[in-house]
Amino acid sequence: MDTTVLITFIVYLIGMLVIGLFMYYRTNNLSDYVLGGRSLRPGVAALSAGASDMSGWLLLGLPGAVYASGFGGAYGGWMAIGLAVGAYLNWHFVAKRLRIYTEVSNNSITIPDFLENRFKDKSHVLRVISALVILLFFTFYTSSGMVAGATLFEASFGFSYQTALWIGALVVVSYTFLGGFLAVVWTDFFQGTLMLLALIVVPIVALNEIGGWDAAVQTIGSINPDHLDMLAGVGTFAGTIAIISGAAWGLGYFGQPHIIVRFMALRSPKDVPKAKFIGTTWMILGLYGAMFTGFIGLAFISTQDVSILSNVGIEVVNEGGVQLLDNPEVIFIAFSQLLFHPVIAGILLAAILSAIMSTIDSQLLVSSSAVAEDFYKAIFRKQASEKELVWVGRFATIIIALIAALIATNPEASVLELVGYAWAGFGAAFGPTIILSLFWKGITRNGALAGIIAGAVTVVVWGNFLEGGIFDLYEIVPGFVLNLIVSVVVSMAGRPTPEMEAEFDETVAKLDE
Amino acid sequence: MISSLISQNPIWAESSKQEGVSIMEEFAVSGATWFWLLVPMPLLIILSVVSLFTNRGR
Repeated sequence: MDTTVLITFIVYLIGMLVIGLFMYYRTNNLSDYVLGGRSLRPGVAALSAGASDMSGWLLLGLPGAVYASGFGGAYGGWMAIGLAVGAYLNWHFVAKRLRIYTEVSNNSITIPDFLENRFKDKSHVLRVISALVILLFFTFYTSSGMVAGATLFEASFGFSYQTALWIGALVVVSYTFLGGFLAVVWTDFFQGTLMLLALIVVPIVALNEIGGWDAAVQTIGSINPDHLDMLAGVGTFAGTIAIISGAAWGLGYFGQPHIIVRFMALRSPKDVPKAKFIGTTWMILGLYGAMFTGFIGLAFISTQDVSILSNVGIEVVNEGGVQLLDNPEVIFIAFSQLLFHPVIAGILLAAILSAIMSTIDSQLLVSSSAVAEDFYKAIFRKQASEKELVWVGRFATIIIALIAALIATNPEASVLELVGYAWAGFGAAFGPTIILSLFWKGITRNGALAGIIAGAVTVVVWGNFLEGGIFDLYEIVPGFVLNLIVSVVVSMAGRPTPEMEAEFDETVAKLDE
Repeated sequence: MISSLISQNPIWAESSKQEGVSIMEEFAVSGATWFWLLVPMPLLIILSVVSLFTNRGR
């Protein structure tokens, strides 16, 4: 372990804790804790949404996917395009309406809270079902992030897996526990900036090192010409399914609670266009950086001396005469160790941890708000004081993090599959429901409830019990479509209440103000 | 360029010879790939800039 790298890394972690401590003194009630009192400026909201969205996937997963199959694989270019389009549409269509509607609808501060208020559901069934979906998927989602973080600590610093896991969990829980939403968004803001800089610098330095773009293209073409063609799989059933599955990740955006809650926290609905511009630009530059890191990495690693790679702990294998990384997802780590000064390498590794931590903290916060607001306050103690609810949220953060960390103690847990599964779960359960809630006056409580259940169940069944042929399609597609159909059909069998219709009209009227 | 890259990796160079792959063969990123990589995503940035100014105008 290089001491300089470690020191840089520790300074960064201490900086995050200081932010948490600072924000502790600015958190006075539950709205502050879970929504920052709706005070976010557009830049902070945009980068926070991006950073909490992208997780370790942007620095590990996407470069790894492009490294493995160039631009020709489903989970390279097509997934990036799908995500970029999905994120843009989410900002364009959902952000402003949701910001206004959540305020009109009894100042809702969580997604279950909004659904209950939107549909005037006095039975609390909608709130409880949606909070359960959140708790279930986020516990596993958070756990997968902890596995990724521990793997990074383990690979970079030589800690044991278990030690690495608990150190990472302790830091994230500490600043989420202390500062709540304000700490999370401000750390997200710094982490998002760091991630973007890292993703711009790394591929440029690597490209220079390998001798330019043409050299990279020729090397990769020699390995497999299909790696240079995004349409390589078109025409075959499996290839088409793969491309649709990759692009379909974009459907998930409309239902991710930890992302859309940033829209609700914006200072003003008028900030949306600015936030959309910042968020879209940040994301697309990041996606390009991640894709080119993987692409150039494939050419770079194949031409390096094995002894140089093994000196910094990078394991390679030889497949068909081509030298490849044993784990494609460490390509960003490999570049940071091979091409940069230890101080910069420490910062780049901190950027990876940033990506992972900024997602875990947001998910912990949404989960803890589900416990405090949607279970504790809504069902058990309606008269709970604001201070009491903040502390319930804080302890919920610890308990959920503990459960997630315990699940993560099994290093065999599949990170990427869990991420994809949870993404599909939220996208299919909440995505169509949120869209219809915002745009269709005719949706009823029963329609929304049936749609959420249909979407979630479809993802669980399709993802776990069906395999082969059409069932290789990413489960978010059938889940999303089925939720839409069920929501519309069930809603058409009933009628929304006049109060619901009045609130819908009030929201629409405020859109033009 | 490709010759120098391949010659840096003896295993690969050997493999290329065995498989009869010409080291002079030229490769290029396909036109469709360039289109999908460079059109949709930058277009989204342009759209967001347009809506930024449209809203300012209001």
